[in-house]
Amino acid sequence: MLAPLPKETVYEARERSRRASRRLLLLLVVLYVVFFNMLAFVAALALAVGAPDHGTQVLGAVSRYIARHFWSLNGLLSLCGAFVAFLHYQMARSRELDSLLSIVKAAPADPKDEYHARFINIVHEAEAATGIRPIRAVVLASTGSNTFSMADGEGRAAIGATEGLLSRLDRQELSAVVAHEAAHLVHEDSSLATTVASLTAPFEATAASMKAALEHRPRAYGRHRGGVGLAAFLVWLVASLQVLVMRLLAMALSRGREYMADAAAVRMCKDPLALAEALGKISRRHRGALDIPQSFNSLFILNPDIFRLDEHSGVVAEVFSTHPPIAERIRRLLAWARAELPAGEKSEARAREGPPAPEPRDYYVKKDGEWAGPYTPSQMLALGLLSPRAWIVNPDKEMKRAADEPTLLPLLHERVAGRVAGRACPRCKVSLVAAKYEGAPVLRCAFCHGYLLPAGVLERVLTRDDRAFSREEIETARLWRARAQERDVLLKEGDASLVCPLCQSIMIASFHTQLTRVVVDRCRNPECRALWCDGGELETMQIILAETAREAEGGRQRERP
Amino acid sequence: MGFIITLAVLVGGAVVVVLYVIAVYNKLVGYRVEVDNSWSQIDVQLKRRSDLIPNLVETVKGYMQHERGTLEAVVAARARATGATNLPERMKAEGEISGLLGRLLAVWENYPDLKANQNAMQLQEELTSTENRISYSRGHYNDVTANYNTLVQRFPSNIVAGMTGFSVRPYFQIAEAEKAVPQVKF
Repeated sequence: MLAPLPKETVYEARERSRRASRRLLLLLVVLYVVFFNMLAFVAALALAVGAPDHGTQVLGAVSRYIARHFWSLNGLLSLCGAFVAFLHYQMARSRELDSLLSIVKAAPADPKDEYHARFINIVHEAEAATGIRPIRAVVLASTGSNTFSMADGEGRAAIGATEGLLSRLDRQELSAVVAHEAAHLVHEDSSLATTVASLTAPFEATAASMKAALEHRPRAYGRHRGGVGLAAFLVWLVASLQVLVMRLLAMALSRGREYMADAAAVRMCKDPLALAEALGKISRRHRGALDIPQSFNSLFILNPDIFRLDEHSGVVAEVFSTHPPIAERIRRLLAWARAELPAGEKSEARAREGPPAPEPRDYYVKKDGEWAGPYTPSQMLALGLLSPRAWIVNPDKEMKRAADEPTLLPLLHERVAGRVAGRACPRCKVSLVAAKYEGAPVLRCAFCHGYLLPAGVLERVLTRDDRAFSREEIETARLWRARAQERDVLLKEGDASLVCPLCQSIMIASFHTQLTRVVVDRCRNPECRALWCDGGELETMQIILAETAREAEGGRQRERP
Repeated sequence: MGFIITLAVLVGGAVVVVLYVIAVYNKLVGYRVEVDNSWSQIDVQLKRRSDLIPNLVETVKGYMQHERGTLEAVVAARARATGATNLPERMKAEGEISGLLGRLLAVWENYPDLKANQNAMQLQEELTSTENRISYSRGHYNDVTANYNTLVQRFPSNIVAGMTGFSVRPYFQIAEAEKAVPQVKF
């Protein structure tokens, strides 16, 4: 469920996040102590059992010893565990920002470069908004799109972005993204993430060394190798399980923090659409994988490893990823954007779900300082002219920002949502717009009026007849049918195959049925099976089927007396 | 015996109260420093904007023929802000500058020549950023002040604040400048 936008000050936000962190650290330390106990007992028991000659004797002695000194042993081990945890915590906190930055290979932003200068300015704005200063602006030399924030134990902070991101986002979007990173700094997420990562380290080391012992030197222990081998195996098993538990905890923590940062960013720059748009762009356009150590992943706005699970929903995906699914993040952002609309416009946005009304044509939009038009809204959208800040003139000759125009706002919402799923028309290569065709979700190209139907949607559309067809459409369908009956229509060989906008597989042209003989392109990927209908084809199919059904009905009635 | 216990309780109580007073006092001092500090940050940004204005007027006056009046009003408001003797007067002038600059930035895109001018592009970026920083600093100042005021007013810390002379700080409110409505020109 959507959490309401936090109405707290920067301080309250920081306090809240500190409380959450303290609870978590406490839990971690308890876990740590328990884990240490487990490791030691497993090792002792395994050694005792494994010793071949006097196994039972030793086992008896060990168990008696453990029973007698249970609490003092336990206390000793717990102290050891807590001490190691403390050492690691201190080590994690003492790493300096410069050394952290050099691990991810970040360089300071260059104020002579225009894009960098803008980024530096925006980071200064983040300083003003959070009161954390200075925040260093650093850049990763990568064409991918990602951003991160880092802070060390001394409170030195940095916000970084890739070159690709700096060039692709406009000012509002970059501001929103930087605000998200600044929110991480306010919440002190990066030091927490580093701490948790370093707390996992001793278990990782234990598991790794046990694995090495098992693989490489089984003979070195002579006649005790059975016992040593078993002990090593058990310790490895337990340590690996513990690593898994720690990682899962770290991931759960990281996911929660991402949502919190999104909310705080919206509160800071008051522009949920821009952040949604930026997330869409980052995930859709060349996202790029970065060569980053795994423990740093949670510092980035999107997971730098391209990891399939990230974009899937479901329990497994949720548990095993450091970042929440982008679609879900965008959904929440859009809900905030919608919540800010006045009531009248909300119903406007809902009303769009009916059958497609003819679009008003007379929109003009400002492009590179010149007015261009007239366009329909979806044409502007497909041409990439429409952004929330674009100046437009509506049919009533009023000039406003696109985001202030009630008929365009829902389109902007859809574009942001559509971008994530992100697809271009296989014919015209402009982005497809999410639309409803007779109530079924389809993607529509605003130029060639072709439709992309996910698997199963065609069947739904063909069984529905909510839509009245124009005379022109009916004429086209009848003409096609007449030609089809003359066996005039053949599949054109050698046509370049289309590429499925959903899964990038090849699409194969085939007749929809011998009855309609309409040529549609079906995606070859058996898990996708999306269908592309060029402009008019979908309508033609519907009309032919409807007419055939009517004739059959009529024929049957005629046969009956 | 009873006397000793009473004494111990009294002394213990007194120590707790003194410790509490010290803690609250230190917290108040820390918060007040933050309030002053974030106020000075607003000041830094206002100064920065003030320094940008002559450059702005110089750069755009050749292009923005229709905005002569706005530019003159900006210069006049700047003069009033720098010459102001008291805070409310100065803030009123600064608020006017914000409104006027917002209007200029909104119509900026109507001048293709300006967009071709490298210097003007940089200036636009600097102005936008400075305006943002001012409004963010203001928001942050209000956050910090809310934090401080809460401590000053809340029981029982208000007793300590009253004894040691901490008083409530005013919030920084600027009347939102009227939204600039650009003219349609084809």
